[in-house]
Amino acid sequence: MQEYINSGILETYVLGCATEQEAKEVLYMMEKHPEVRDALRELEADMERIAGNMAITPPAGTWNKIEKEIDEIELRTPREPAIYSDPGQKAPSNKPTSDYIDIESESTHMRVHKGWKWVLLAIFVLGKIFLGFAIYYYFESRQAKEQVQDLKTELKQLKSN
Amino acid sequence: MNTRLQHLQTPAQLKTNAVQGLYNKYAGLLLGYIDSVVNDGEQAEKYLIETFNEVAMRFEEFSKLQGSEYCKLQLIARKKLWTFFNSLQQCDVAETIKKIAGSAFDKHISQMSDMQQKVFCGVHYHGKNTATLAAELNTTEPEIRKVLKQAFSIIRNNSGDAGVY
Repeated sequence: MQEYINSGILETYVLGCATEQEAKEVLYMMEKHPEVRDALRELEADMERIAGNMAITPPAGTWNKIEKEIDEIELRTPREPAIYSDPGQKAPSNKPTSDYIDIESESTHMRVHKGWKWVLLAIFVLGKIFLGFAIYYYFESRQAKEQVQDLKTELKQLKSN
Repeated sequence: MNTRLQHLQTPAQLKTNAVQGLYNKYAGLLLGYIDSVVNDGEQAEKYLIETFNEVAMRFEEFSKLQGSEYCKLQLIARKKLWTFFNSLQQCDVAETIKKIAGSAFDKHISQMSDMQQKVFCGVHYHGKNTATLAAELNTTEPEIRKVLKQAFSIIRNNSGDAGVY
């Protein structure tokens, strides 16, 4: 184990230049061997000591800039309604005994997936095409009936003559 | 009283407070490191802001990660500095030593051998990995790791803590 510690792999890990495989190995060894964990802690303390030697006080407004950006990130992050966030928590409702959520009284709008836009557009276009065909065949059929009627009349006239 | 106040805070506020706690504790250390890398106060502040924003965005992941908080923050900062590291043409150790001259860290670096300086500065200040350094210095990766360890031992011994494992 001392050989592993002395190999310098822990220093590589702490400095962030270890490969993914090396990092996994270090974490595994740290879990298994307390001496590796202690050595790693020592190195982390060294890192802080190194940083402490070169510390610079941040400019006064830096935290405000960070806080502002965190707030913006929070606003941009889509959130599920609190009702769904904790499966163990029951939905707040006017009726305390009800397990259902009263969605109708809350809003007159509903949200649908954007994919439905194309489906609805296709339904609309197909509807128009069918309507066109229906009108076309209606007039076609009416014209045919009129022609049949005319022929019948002509036939009757011929018979009577 | 504090506990009651915590209950009144939203999860977002709790997260912001936790990040602020980290900022209060480590921002100075981190800014010192970043500034020694980029050598530009304004740019260093920009990287510091990006680092803490990243922490806020991945706070749960950050909390679960093993290791000291400072080291985790430094790893994030190094990732943010990746583009900067790549833009560096070559690792100029003399330039780096000039940058840190006068700081308390100068005494550690000045006691390192030429090879130890090259390896430590290459990794710590120029974001190089052991494979790159091994190729540049015409040696092997295990050798680079050993040199890195020696550099750490010098820092530790100079800091008055002789307990080298």
